[in-house]
Amino acid sequence: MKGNVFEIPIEDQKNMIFEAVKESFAYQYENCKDYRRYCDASFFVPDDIKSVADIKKIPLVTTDVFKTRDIYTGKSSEGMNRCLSSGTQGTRSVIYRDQSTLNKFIDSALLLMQMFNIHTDKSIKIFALTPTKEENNDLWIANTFSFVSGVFDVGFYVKKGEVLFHHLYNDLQDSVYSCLPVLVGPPVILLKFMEYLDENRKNLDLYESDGFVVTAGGWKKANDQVVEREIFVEQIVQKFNLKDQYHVRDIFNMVEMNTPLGNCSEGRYHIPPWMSMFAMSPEGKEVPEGEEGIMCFIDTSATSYPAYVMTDDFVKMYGYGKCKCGCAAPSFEYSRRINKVEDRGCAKKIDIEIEKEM
Amino acid sequence: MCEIINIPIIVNGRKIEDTGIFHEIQYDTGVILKIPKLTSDLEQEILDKNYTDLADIPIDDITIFLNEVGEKWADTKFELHQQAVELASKITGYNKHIFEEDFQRIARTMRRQKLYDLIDGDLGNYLYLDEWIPSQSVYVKAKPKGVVTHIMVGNVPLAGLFTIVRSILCKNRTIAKLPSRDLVSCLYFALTFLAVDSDNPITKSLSVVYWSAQSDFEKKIIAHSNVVCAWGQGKSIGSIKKEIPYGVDFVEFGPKESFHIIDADYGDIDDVCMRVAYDVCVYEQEACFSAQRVFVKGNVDVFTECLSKWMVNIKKRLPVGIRSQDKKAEIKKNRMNAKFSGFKVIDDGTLDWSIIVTEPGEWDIIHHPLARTIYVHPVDKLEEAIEYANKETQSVGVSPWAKGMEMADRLADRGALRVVEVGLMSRPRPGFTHDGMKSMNNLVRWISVERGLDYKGKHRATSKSDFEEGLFKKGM
Repeated sequence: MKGNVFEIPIEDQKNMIFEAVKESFAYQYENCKDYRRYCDASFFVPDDIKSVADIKKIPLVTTDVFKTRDIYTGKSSEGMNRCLSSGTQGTRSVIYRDQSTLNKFIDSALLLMQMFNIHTDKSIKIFALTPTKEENNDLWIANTFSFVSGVFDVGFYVKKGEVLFHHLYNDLQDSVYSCLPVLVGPPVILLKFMEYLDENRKNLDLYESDGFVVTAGGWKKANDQVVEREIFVEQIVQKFNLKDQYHVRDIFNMVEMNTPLGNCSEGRYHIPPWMSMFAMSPEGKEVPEGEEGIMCFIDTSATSYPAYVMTDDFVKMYGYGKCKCGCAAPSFEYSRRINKVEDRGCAKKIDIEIEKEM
Repeated sequence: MCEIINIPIIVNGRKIEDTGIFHEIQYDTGVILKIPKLTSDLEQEILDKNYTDLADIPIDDITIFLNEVGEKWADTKFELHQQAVELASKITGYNKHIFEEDFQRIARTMRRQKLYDLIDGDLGNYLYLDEWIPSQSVYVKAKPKGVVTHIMVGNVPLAGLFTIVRSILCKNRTIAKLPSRDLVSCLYFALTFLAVDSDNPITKSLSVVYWSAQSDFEKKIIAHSNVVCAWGQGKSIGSIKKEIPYGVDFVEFGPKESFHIIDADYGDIDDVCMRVAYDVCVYEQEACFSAQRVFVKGNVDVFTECLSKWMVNIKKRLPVGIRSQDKKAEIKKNRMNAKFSGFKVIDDGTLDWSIIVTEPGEWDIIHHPLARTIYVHPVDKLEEAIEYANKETQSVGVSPWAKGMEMADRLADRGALRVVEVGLMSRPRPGFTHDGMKSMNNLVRWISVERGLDYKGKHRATSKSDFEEGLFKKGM
């Protein structure tokens, strides 16, 4: 997709998503046998998509399904990339991606630069606080940065489970005159990097190089260290001497989602026109704008699996033209994970705890 | 907007409303409870208290006092009773009737004659608590263990209340850590002891407090205890177990699950389904004895149709409590998973209950969200279901009931701990065992005074001097 997809007129965006979903659903229905069986049991077939409103009637797959079954589209998963969630607390999701699906992921990753308003004549270098794909072939977060390494210069700073803070510091120091540095990683590792800088009395100044810091992923098991987003952003701005708080951004993604979404200056995540996203009540009704509901998405950029997902997250959705940042695309605010951890009784049950991935 | 409600704690029988610092616990139902944190002085006060206070009190006096407390607690006009029902329902989401029924049940258990039966059931004879009872060639007495700390869960109000009663009957000092799930039931029950007689040594033997899991005080109190009774999920029990030092007994309850084995071709299926629905819905399936699965031999379609009818009907008898959005989301997603897996999902268009029909053994791929979700597993023979009992099985309900005793040994050999008639999962009968134990046995020390050689019994030589000769002088 060339140009800024978020600048496409609203009516065109609506038409695009309708056509994309219609085509995608017909394809998945024909080629993913498990999904087709599910649709048949739900009495929903491609011809049932007659208007935009019908998109929300498409049978959704829960993230749990990807944790317990091999779901792929086509005759075989041979040759596909097996992408795994981190599985910090429980079973891992497995998503099969073919090359076409991966290419679309990379394309949409490039859009993040537009969303983050990163403009430069210099080259962009990404400093990723993740292992390489070679080191951790399955892990989705490692995969994602390896994919974009074909487009950007990407350095990886996690090796054999260790974060290479010293190298990272040196490389960041060296880069400030030659490129625009973008430091990307899970918040807990960024926090540790800042602690490393403090403990070693080191300073990093990314002001002149117009550097960015991008958080990706939740706090995983480090729940006791969670810092309020606003406070965390302020800490990062000061520690790296960034130009302003807009130079600290966040990427929302999960292994089941084939489009990484970047937050805008208002902190919301905008939905490109190949994705439909909506918030549902547990009773199955779409919740009104701005109210908390279960995040559901249809990501048509994935062809090798049905990316029609009911997630484990609560979000607040906003429609077209409802964000102060100026972007007309629909957007959402992330609220929280669905609390599934039960520690309230002596009744045993099989707990499947799910992490927000990436 | 959350409603904030302050509740007290009890330290050695003393009600404490404000220590200057509080735990604040927020509930899905929109209530925040503020409960005083223990100060270091209060912590020390609990640790310093002499645990032998009840040791010399005759069991008669204890049962008389408990009877009095029970009567007061059962009085629906009694302020603490009313407040407990109201507030406990508000925070747990359980319907008020669950608390009303459990509070009445504990009161009935506290009638004097029932208390004696209870002790007799577990210890064999209530007199062991007061006297040296001859037994073979010795005299035996059951002495209190001393300080018993109960780390509770709030899923079954009755369980917490019962624990306190058992602890007192065994003349122990009781330290109850309230469960965040239900901070109210046990606390208000214990406050009733104060209302009856705040100077009674039984009242003074009670501390009912709250502390954070894995806190320093928890470690101290565990080390200070003679027995720690913990209830709950594997993870939370595991973290407590790690802290138990040598010399402190540990008694664990849960996690367990329960199921039914039903021959649908036999008996009045309508009656059976009514009973199944009750077992599934009471305590919203959060108790260890709540049926989570039903193995059915016979016509499963007829069974599920009838069970569906009763799952709707039971809502009048056991109205669905307040459920958070998270719980509802979990139910919704579970149904979707089941459907994706090709399982038959039956409901009434609400999220109140679900019946999911799957082959036995397929359940590992789906989650059990509790909340009135019943997995129905068709089997060709009832015996097939026995294979699914394991060390995590607590109660097994059987229909027709005549098959219960027939299958009991095989179920027990697989790990099941209790076999009951369908419909009575939540109604243990007098003499019941709990998680494989006669619980009071864990709360007493069995002491013996042995007779001298003047008493020959059936094993000693008839001549004292012959015996002494053989024991002490042989070969000299």
